Amino acid sequence: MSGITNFIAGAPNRVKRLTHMAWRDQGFMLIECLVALAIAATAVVVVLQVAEASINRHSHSMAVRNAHLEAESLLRSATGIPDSELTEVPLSAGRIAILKSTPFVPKGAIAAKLANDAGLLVLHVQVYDKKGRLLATMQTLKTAQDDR
Amino acid sequence: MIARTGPRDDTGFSLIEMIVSLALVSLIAVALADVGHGSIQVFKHGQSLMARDTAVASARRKLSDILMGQRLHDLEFEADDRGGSRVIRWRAPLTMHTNSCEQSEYSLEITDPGTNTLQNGGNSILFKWRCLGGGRPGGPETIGQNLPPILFSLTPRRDAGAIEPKLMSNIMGIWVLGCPSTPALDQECGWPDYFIPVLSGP
Repeated sequence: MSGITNFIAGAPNRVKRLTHMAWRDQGFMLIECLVALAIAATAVVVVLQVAEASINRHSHSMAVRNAHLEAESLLRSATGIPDSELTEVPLSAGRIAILKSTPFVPKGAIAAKLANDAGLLVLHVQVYDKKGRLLATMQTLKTAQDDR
Repeated sequence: MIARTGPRDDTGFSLIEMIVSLALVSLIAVALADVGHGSIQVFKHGQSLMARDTAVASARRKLSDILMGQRLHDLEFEADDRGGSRVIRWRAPLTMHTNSCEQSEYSLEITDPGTNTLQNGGNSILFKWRCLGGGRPGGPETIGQNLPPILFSLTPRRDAGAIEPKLMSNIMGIWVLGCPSTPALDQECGWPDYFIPVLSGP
């Protein structure tokens, strides 16, 4: 009974001694080093992927911004496009704009009165990138005889 | 002194383990150096993009200021086979640039990096003016520095043979097209096509 008591009482010292010896005498095993390096490499790969995704998002946002600027310019420049006719316009960076006009259909009595005999057209412009993704959509009202 | 016999009590790495470890550490170091170099390049590229965007925005605003407030006439536009021109000339009455004569001639000229003597590298636009009644020519005033390749056009079409008269039938405006020589460009050229409406006629 006393032997068991002594064994239990001396356990902390033994653990401390064994731990100290292990840290003093044994380096990392090769497998431990490999696992650590693999974890570090995985972390680096994850960071690189996040950075790449960030760069791609930035490029896309630049393309969207430029597409909106070009759509705005197109709406300012275009006039007198016949109804329902599609017009393709090549833009910078390989983008394509599609212009289309439709008759303005007023909703409500006041709008109908204002639009009466004005010959208003709704001019739509959509800008696509080279891969056919829609980047920008805009529309505005134009008169068929608009000179600006 | 007691001689030490038998195997050593330390258990370090073996030679092969050291070689493998060093090789791995070297590979990691090379990869990290590559990542660091790439990060610096991305940072520099981002800085240059910001500088370019600032220059482009400034140049577009300046072009609008010059062209939109004037009533142009005798517009000279020397279109090449793509329907674009590096130079436009026009005449206009009194403006803030020539406040001492009634009629002036203006020109906007896109300089390419090879011929640009005012700054190094990149495109820029030279704005010149002169009083038709005599006197010294004004300018040149440089609009924008290190701009992407651009070209003036009177239509949004790059092909002279594919001009859509419907688009420009009733208005007079000037397009400044971005990267006109590389229409199939994969990346942003930095200058979205820009339309400046102008007044025409006397």
